[in-house]
Amino acid sequence: MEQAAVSEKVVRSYLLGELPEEERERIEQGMLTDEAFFETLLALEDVVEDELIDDYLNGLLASREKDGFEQVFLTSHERREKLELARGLSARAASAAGHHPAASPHRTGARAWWRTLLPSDRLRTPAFGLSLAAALLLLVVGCGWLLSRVQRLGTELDALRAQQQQSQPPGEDLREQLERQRARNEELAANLSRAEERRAELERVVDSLNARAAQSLKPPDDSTPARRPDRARPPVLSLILPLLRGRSSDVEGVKAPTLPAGTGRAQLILALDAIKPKDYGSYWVSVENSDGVEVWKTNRVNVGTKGTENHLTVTLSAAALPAGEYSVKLTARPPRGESELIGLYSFRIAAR
Amino acid sequence: MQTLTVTPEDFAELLLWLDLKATEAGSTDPARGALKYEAVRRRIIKIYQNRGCQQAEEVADEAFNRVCVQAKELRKTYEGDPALYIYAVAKNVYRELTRAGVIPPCGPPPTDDPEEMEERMALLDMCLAQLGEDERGLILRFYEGEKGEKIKNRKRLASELGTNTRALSLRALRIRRQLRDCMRRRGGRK
Repeated sequence: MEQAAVSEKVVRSYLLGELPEEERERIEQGMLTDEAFFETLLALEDVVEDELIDDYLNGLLASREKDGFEQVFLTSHERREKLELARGLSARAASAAGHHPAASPHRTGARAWWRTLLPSDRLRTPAFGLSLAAALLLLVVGCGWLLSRVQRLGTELDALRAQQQQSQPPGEDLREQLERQRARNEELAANLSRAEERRAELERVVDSLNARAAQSLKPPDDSTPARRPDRARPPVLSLILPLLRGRSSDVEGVKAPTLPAGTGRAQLILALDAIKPKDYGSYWVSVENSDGVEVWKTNRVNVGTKGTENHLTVTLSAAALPAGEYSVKLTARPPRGESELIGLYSFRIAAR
Repeated sequence: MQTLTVTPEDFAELLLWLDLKATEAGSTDPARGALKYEAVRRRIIKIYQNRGCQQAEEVADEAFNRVCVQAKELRKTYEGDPALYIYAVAKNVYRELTRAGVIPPCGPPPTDDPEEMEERMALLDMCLAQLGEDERGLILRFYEGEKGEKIKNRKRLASELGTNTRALSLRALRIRRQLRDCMRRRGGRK
């Protein structure tokens, strides 16, 4: 027996118990006798049941419908299951959306939206929690190591840059230093050359003076008119004494300038070389024999300049000095300071 | 209500009587009769559940018991679909049981225990987790919002999916069935 088609509206009324008895029996008999009708009704029931549950949860049922829903519809255990499921899904949907859940007797709690993305049963396992904690710990440690390494590299880089700046002065400064060094070298070379020239000149002067001195000691020849003998004055011989550098008082082995025997007065010209007279305020000259005994001393000196050379001159009474080796000590005293030995010289007095 | 004793021969007679095809074709098949028996019984139960009866199974079983003892006679005398006869007997049974107070009048179901509700929510969470990402997202979005906002959300969701609200409702229905089956399995319910 085929039943007339049934609509969702009729099914809704049927499920709420609102249909007249005759209509209800027609539907029920159709369920028993017409297989197709029964299947259609079942399908509609599923949809209508969910709609009724939604409307009920949302408070959209009229009062009469609500009574039918609670008195008739919910007597089925299966429909109560559906209602609870829909209620639970609404609560979870509200949590996921961050809204407060709909009126519900359940204690749904406010679950963070991200929890809905994670399988909750996994969170319940210690293994997952431990794995997550281990991963987070590893991440933190790794970040800390990287940070410290970056800082260390930055420090090393700064140090290298500073070192580079120090070791490589600006180009301009380097060239200037080089130029100054070259000029200094040239000046020293020039000074050395001049010193050599002056030494040679002084030696020529010494030889000339010595020759003149020797000439003055010769007896006069007959070709010259006789002179009335003057009062005899002892001859003054000039002897240039080079400054001995780095030598001890022992003058052996050094060819010292020689005064001829019988020299009465000798002018000792002490070369000062690099000694600057302006550095000192007073001078003392002492003469010692080969035994180290002081035989003469004076502070009456003349400091002069010949050309670019400084020298100090003293006049020595050599008549009483026997033949032999002698050393000359030049002591000077700076304006503020103690006396100091600044020069050492030597000479010889020839034997008769 | 009288207590009926149903013998195996009575039940066999019932199955033969229910095998309508056998009646028409001239041969009987108890297996077909058994299938008919299950189908009729399921529908009788559903009918009385839809009427709000909390003991629909008892009504159906009592109706079948009464028919069983009459089955041998009914095979000879009754003309028509046996299911309608059983339906009528069930209606009488329901009326009698209601008047006798055996079946309480329809009323709202008892409220659930809070612990049971918590347990159900835990089951729901586990079963939601087992859904695919798309299905989980769809069902949660389907239930998003309240009242009129929910309807708007569903329309918007249907539009995003390129379908209509009807098709969307059917998809949600299938997902709910999955969840329900899952919860029954995990909860040990049939």
